[in-house]
Amino acid sequence: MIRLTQVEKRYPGAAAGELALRKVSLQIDEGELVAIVGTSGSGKTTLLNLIGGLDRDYRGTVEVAGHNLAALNDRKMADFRNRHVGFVFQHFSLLDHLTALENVALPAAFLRGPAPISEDPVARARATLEEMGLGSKLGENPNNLSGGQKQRVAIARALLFRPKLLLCDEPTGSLDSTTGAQIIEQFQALNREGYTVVIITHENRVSEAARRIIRIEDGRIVDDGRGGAQ
Amino acid sequence: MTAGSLARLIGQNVGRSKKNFLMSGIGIVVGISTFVFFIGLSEGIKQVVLGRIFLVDQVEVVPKRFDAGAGGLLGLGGGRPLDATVAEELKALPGVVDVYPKMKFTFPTRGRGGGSLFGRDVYAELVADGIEPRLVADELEHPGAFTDREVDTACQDDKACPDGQTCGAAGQCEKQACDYDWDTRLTACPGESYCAEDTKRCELPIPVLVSNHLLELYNGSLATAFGGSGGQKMPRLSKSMVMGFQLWAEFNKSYIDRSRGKGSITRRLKLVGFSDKAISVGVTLPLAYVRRLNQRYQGAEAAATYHSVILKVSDQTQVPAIVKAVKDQGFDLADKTENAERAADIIKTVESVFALVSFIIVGIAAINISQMFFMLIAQRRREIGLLRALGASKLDVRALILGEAGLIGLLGGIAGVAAGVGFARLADYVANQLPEFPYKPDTFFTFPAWLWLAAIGGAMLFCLLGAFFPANAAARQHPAAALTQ
Ligand SMILES: Nc1ncnc2c1ncn2[C@@H]1O[C@H](COP(=O)(O)OP(=O)(O)O)[C@@H](O)[C@H]1O
Ligand SMILES: [Mg+2]
Repeated sequence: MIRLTQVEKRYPGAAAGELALRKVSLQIDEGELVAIVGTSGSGKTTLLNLIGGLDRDYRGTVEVAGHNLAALNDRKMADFRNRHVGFVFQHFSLLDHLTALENVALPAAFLRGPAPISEDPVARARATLEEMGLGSKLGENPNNLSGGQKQRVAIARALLFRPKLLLCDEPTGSLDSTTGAQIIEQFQALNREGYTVVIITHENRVSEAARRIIRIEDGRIVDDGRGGAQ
Repeated sequence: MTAGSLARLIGQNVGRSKKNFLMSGIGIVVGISTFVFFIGLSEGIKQVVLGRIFLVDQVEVVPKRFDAGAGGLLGLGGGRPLDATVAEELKALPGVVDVYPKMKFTFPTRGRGGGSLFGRDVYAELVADGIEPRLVADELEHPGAFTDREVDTACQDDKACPDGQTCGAAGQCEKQACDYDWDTRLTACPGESYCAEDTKRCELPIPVLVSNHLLELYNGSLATAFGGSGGQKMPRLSKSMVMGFQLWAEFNKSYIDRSRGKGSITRRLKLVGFSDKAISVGVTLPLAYVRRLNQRYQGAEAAATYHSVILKVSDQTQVPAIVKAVKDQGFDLADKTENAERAADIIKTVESVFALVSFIIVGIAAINISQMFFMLIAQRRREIGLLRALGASKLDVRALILGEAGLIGLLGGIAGVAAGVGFARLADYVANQLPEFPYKPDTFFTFPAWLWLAAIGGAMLFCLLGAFFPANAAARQHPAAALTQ
């Protein structure tokens, strides 16, 4: 599903030796639930951005879902993100001027070519929100939703086109522990459905839920092993 | 991104930043309404000045006037006379569709009449010229009335002949003889014919045209000035009131000059129509009458020489080239044509100045819009990053920003056009409260279709230009960087 080979990332403006990622090689297979842990500033987000096709400025190769990302132009890269990756961020990243339903259906606005799902995107958005217990909040503005509800709307959006890969950057970072736990359960359930899930976290209870924990320090993978759960 | 989803996103974004867009849109509305108002005014005035006062779709050629030039010093006298040969040459010029010679009276004439209109007869020196009836055939209400009535008419019986004529032995209408008497000269002959002193026969009135200007000038100045005052009342006249009006003309007679031999004859003139091609102040006859009268009083040369030749031009853009060719051939332009050229130049200059002013206003508005967009995309930094994460390409982001700008331009342009037209209506309303003056039009504004297009298209163009750099900056923004706070 994901293969990184000798990946190096240096942010523009950083000093010559100051790398955000240093010779990172990594393989994640389809169906895995992986936690990436590490202290703040260790390079977790940088790694996730490369995998998700949000950053094309790196050395080495990044292959995701059969695409060598360096070979894609801007439009194809946008297509790749649109169809193959579902993002979930710490700060929910919902558009406040749209309803919950409109937020979930938003990726459909950028679809080019044949749809990756057979049903109508808005119908799919509605069904997903209902599955997540938000059936009564379809027309609600994100402002009127609780943190947990917002994050479930964001997850529903990530699932719109049933991407193979969910990339989550500190998805519980802004939630209280009970709500956070529910969200983690949600990811576990999605993983059981077949989604490959990569979660960045620095919370132990989150990483404990994962089957595999990758630890990063100072831009390097220092540990890659099985976690506690299952 | 499909056009539909793009339009929806644009609509949502504009709706969300209403206040910002409204503020920036005001500049566009002000600039575009200025543009529409002043260009509409210039176009309207152009129509009055060039379409009614001067006629720019025709070029009037006159013989060269030597003023202190070398020719004058050498005693060469006037330039080439305008005759039938020259008229043919001018007709051959590229862009000239037709030529219409004009001939003036080469002898004085005095007129008398108007009792029915003014309450008492008016006496005046009469200025007259002649044109070919076909020149005005398509603009007269009764084109058949403006024609040479002295031509032979074949007939079988008297019914086929005009008033005062009978069918003669040769199968031609012949004028009846009559007993001339000053008191009964109008009633001695049947119908509209009258008894002429010189021929002692029943003559038909000579059809004449007057210019629309004449009536305008009269109503706008004389009638207005004297209309209300006690002693000398001058009524306002409408076309229908004066149509068919007749007056006496005494050829080769003058109130100011002594007549010069060859005697004078008196004929009746009958007003049969109005035309801008008629002489400005005076009457215009069918050319044949003028030719015969000039022949009678001044001889063959006068009867063969035109005073001017009007060139009908296939389209206005040809005028400058034709003007040049005419001058190269040794002729001049009538003052009217020269003035029209000058007036057109002045209007064009004024129009350009107003266009420039409007463009400066819209340009400033565009800079303002540019700044607003830079501010907006800074505010929406994370949001744009999110859209990229969800599948928006650089092009999508650019299209989104430019689309918002285009929408402001479209709405601002429409509002600007509406405001400009509104101000124009207001100005017309105010002008209508002013007293009459010559050539006062019902509206001072003309809004041709290209003006709508230019106004709305220009508004959109300037907004797009204003948003161009912000849109670039938004598209270049790094999607990952936008998501990190
Ligand atoms: N956009 C950026 N420009 C420059 N440096 C950056 C940028 N984003 C992250 N960095 C640097 O790269 C390193 C890794 O950052 P990041 O991947 O965000 O860490 P984490 O997500 O683990 O907290 C840090 O030293 C950080 O300062
Ligand atoms: Mg991070």
